[in-house]
Formats: sequence, structure tokens, C-alpha cells
Amino acid sequence: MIPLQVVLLVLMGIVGTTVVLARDPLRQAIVNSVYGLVAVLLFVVFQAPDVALSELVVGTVAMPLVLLVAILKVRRKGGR
Amino acid sequence: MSYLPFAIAGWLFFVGLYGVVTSRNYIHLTVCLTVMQSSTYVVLLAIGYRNGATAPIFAGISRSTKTVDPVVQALTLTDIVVSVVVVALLLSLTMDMFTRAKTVDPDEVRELSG
Amino acid sequence: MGVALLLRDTRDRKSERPYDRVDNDAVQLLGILMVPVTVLLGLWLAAYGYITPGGGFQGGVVLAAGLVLLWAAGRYRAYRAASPMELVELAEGVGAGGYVVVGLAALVSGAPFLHNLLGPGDFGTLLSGGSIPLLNWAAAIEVAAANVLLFHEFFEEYVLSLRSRR
Repeated sequence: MIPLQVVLLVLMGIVGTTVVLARDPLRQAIVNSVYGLVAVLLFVVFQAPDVALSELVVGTVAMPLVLLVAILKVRRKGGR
Repeated sequence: MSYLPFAIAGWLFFVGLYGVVTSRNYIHLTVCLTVMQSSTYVVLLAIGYRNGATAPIFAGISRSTKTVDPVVQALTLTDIVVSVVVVALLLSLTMDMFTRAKTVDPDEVRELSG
Repeated sequence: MGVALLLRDTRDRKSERPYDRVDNDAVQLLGILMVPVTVLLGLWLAAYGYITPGGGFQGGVVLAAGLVLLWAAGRYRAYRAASPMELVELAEGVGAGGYVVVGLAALVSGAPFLHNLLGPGDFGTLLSGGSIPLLNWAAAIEVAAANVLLFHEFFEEYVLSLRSRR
């Protein structure tokens, strides 16, 4: 266990908590992408480049797109 | 082997579970579910990790070099793919429910109507 | 596929033109420049997936992202033209079917399912994997098509909600 791994693991715990505590879905989507970035760094430090790449691809392309479309759709016809 | 990854994974799991249980918005709930699922990535990678080992890419290294376990990495990869599919499916269900029930709050959906 | 089935019934009247103009020149230029780069990166990830980090899944998603960039930077209509849905659905079937066919080919020849029929080649080269490259490309096609299909369904939903608001 090298220090960088410890730091990133703790950071992952903190950012994961922040993702859950962000109640507004739009803010949560942003925090969630930070969480994805931390996860990518953690995977790299854990010597898993394959996993890091797929998390990177998923975190930058698939998740935000799908999330943002859902958020926008819900907001359009909703209260605002 | 340190216990820290498992502690963090447990923390992430329960934080995600807390989010799922207390969520007032299905989109928020879905993201909390991915946080829950991400705890499994940490567990799997921590199981496969060995101190001082390199990544499991075998081109250009000698046979005796220590590498981390590639099998759990393949499992983690599958896990990530599954999590995307779960998110897509849940969000499409959410959007469908919004067009029908006009709400994304789990508590306001009183009844199921076909 | 489940997503496609779920979202399909809500949009029967989709033939109207969606609102799709991008007025910002910088966004447009950068986006158009990034499209070939992204597609190339996706192809590279898929092609070298079994030698370097990467693979069918990652390459497939990046390929789909190239198409999405086309929409983000250009016009939704260009995106629609570049991804005819019948063809994409066909490609998804071909990808999934190809994987099974490679597996069954091994079964037919008397080996276990997905047994590597072609055998290993030179270590570290593109042809070193035997039938693994075939499986890899099948997965890449499948994932790219499935992602395009997924994004398409979500975008249609979004465009529909835009229209009903105006």
C-alpha cells in the first residue's frame, strides 16, 4: 500500500459522500464526474489501466449524457 | 494486505445505501446506486492488488515480473459496463414515469397504473 | 435494447424537425475537428485492445462518442443522417451474433465453446491473439451500435420534450 493509494482511497470516500449528499441532480451530475475522475486515478494507481480506461470512457461519455438528458427532460415540464 | 480498501468500500456502500433510502428524486437515487456499486470496484481491485507488482500487460516484460491479478480486473470491467446499463435503464424508467405521473419523487408515486 | 423498448412508445410523432442549431463558431469548429480524432481514437482502442490497455468496450463507447460530438457541435440532423437506426440496429445484431458465431465455430470443430481456434501468433503483434481479435471487433461493433442506439433514444426523448414546451 503506497501513500498515493491511501490518499486516493480516502479521497474516494470523501467525494463519494459528497455525491450522495448533493441533493440537486444537476449539481450531483457535476460532482459525480469528479468522483469518476478520482476513481480513474485510483484504478491507475492500483495498476489497472484497462479498468481505468473504461471508467474514463464511461465517466466522460455515457454517464453525463444520459444523466443530463434525464435531468433536462424532468426540469422542462416540471416546476420551472 | 491493508484493511483500508475494504473499509472505504464498506463506507461507500453504506453511504450509497443511505442515499438510496433517503432520496427524494429518482435521478438522485440512480446516481447513489452507482456510488453503491462503485464500492465493488474498490473491493475487487484491492483483492487483486499485490505490493510492488506492475499492470498485467505482458508485452515487453520478463516472465518473472510480478503483475497484479488480471482476472479481478476483468470482473471490475464487467461491473462498470453493467453499471452503465443499469443507469440507462433506470433513467429511462424514470423519464417514462415522469411523462405518466408528472413526478420523480418516490413518495409521490402512490399507485401503479398500467 | 430494453431502453429502446421503454422509450419507444412515448414518441410516435417524431418526424417533425428538431430544434438543432449551434450558433457558437468556436464550439462548432472545435467539435468538428474533434470528430475524426475521436473516431480514430476509438478504432485504435478497439484494434490494439488485447495488446495495450483498451478493448472492444472502450473503443466502442469512444466511437459512439464521436457521433455524439457531431450532434453537440453541428446539427442533430447530421447526427441522425450519420446513424441510420435500421443500420445501427443491424450492426448491434451483427456484433452480438458475431461473438456467438466465433464461439460456435470452435464448438463445431470439436473444441469447447470460444476455444481459440486460430492459435497464438507472434507475441506482442496485432495477430498474436488467434480468434481474440475477432471477438474484440465483434464486441466493439456491438458496444458502439448499442451506445449509439442508447444515446439516440435519450436524445429523441429530449428533443421531444423541447418541442412540447415550445
